Amino acid sequence: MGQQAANTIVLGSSYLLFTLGLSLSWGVLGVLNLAHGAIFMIGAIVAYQVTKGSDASLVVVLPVAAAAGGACAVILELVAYRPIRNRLRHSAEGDLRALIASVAAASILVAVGDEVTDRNPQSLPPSLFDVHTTTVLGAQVTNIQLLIVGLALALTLALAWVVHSTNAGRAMRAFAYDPATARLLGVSPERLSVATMFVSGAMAAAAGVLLAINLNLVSAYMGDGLLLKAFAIIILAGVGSIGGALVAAFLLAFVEIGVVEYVSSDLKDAVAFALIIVLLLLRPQGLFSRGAWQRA
Amino acid sequence: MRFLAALAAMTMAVSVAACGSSDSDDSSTGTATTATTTSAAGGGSHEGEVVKIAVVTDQTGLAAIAGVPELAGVKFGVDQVNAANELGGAKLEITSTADSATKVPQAVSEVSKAEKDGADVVLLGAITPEALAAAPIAQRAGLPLVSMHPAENLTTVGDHIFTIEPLESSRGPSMADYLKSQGVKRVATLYDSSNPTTALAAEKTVPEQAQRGGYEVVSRQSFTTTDTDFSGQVAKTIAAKPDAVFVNGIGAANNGVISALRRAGYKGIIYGTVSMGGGAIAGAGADAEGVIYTEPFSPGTTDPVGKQFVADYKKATGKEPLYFSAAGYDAVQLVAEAVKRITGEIDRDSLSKAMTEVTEAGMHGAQGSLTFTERQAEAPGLIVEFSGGQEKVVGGAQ
Repeated sequence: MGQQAANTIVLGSSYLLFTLGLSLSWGVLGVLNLAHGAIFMIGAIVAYQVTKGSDASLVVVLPVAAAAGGACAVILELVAYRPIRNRLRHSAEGDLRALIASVAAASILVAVGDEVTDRNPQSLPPSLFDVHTTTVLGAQVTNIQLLIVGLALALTLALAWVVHSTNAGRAMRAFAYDPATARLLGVSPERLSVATMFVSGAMAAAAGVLLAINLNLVSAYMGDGLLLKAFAIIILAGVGSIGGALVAAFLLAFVEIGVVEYVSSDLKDAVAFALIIVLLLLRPQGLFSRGAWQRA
Repeated sequence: MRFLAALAAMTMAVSVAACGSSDSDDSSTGTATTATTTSAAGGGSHEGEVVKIAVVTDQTGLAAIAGVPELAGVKFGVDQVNAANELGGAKLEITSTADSATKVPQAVSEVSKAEKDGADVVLLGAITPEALAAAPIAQRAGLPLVSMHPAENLTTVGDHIFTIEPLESSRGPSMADYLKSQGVKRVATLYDSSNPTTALAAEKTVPEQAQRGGYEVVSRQSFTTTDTDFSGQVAKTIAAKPDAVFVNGIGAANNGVISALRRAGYKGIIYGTVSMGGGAIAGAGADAEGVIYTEPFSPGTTDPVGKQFVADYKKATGKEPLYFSAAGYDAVQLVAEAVKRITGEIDRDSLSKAMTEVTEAGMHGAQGSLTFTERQAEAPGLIVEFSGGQEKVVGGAQ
């Protein structure tokens, strides 16, 4: 029981770490970035490449991978998403084309991942982070899991503070409400979108490094399964709600682990997603959704 | 700026197209060795005839770990057969190599294309759902198709469908005997339930092994191919106090589960199937140390044909062959042995019939002595321990 409670906290934190960046780009820019899972994977790939030729520690590798992930996301914004947004603003066709562009971008990044890993699952070396198991309140957890929990909560609080209490956050919310009005208020949409995508990509890539250490796995496809869970969390939370993402991530983890423990692992995803459907039927806008005018 | 963006977008599009396309095989050396006229024992003269082989393998995606070495094994086998010049003057030629990309629609599309392009035989290296979807196309066209993966019930699709890699169930008794010898009394299963072959091994083969080995299956937990968290299932598994845990996933999942078990403090035996073979679990590092699994072939084989294959393959490529390469090589041997039996013209029908004759008689390939039931290969296989980054044969047929 205690062990499964610990597993729930770690799993919820992993989901949260993955979801935060996606929630940011979706909530602020309206970009449904299907390449987010691939950028997450690129973080792990960069760490894999850097540690192949050196004994670099996590303190060095994590910022490098985060910067690479941020750069990937910015390139996507400049090359694909922004031009599409500018040409087809306020149209469903524009959203669809951005979506397709993100699928194409993900395919390219996954192909890169395949090449780097030689199409075999790899792992990060112990020199990067020496994983060891410890007992906390009777449950066995590893030091990397404790780091994931701590970082997920810290980043959530930091992001919530930035969005709600800083000028940059106010600019983000104004942009989310109406980019044209935000421009009249002195917000540069170009700079804001680049900054948002950089932070989103950096968070994804940093999550990729930590989860790769936790899973002992670097694979071109490691982001695939998490992407679906992240979308479910964001929709359940309400797009753009950081607090909602936190609650939804832990709720999904709680249901999944609970089903494994008390029902059957065969039904883990089925029960979790059935519950999400029921919740969305009761509250279609998401658990914590507010209108754009309220967010702004 | 807009021009640069457009240029970059075009570059991306071209890259995507290049990744997804199938291409003709310019590296195949099927025509590199000049054949001389010799009459095959029991077969006719086929001077000038070419057996067109279409190879469809997962070169990308989760199963690329198998598809890439399978293709290498096929190429090596074709080169060797042509160099030996024992097909009555006929030559094997790889007319196309296509990437099924670990995707069912892609596999179906590529097998359809091979059929329309006039291939005499298709060698398919794709996971079970792909094989099950693509095989009916070959069957309807009378096109012999050899699966280089074990795929339960695949040959029931029809008489033109063959499987060269023995099923896990045929290696079951060897593993049961090995676990019994290790004093195992309680076994748990942790497996990918979203793949028919991995699921069947856990739900059918393991209970059959348990009966033979006199042990009990105390826990059954499942996951899916794209899962990245196994903590809940691992906790349940360990709580059942098993002496051994059967882990059966595809690609990266095995590594994740093995590490999750070890990091959660499990110290018993972890064992699995061929899906762990060919270096697939090496990425799990120290956590993979001591893991046991079955394989139809290992570079450490003591079978004389297998040993010769290892030596020849190393000489030709500079690398040790993985079992996937052995399956690819044996698929070519099946085709070659069939060609030797054909007295008339070589076409799909005569090839299919001759291949059936070969399977009825049995054959000896790199994977050892193979028997067939309804064109599905069977062999007791090997029990292998992953130790120090290498495979060590610890039981089975040798």
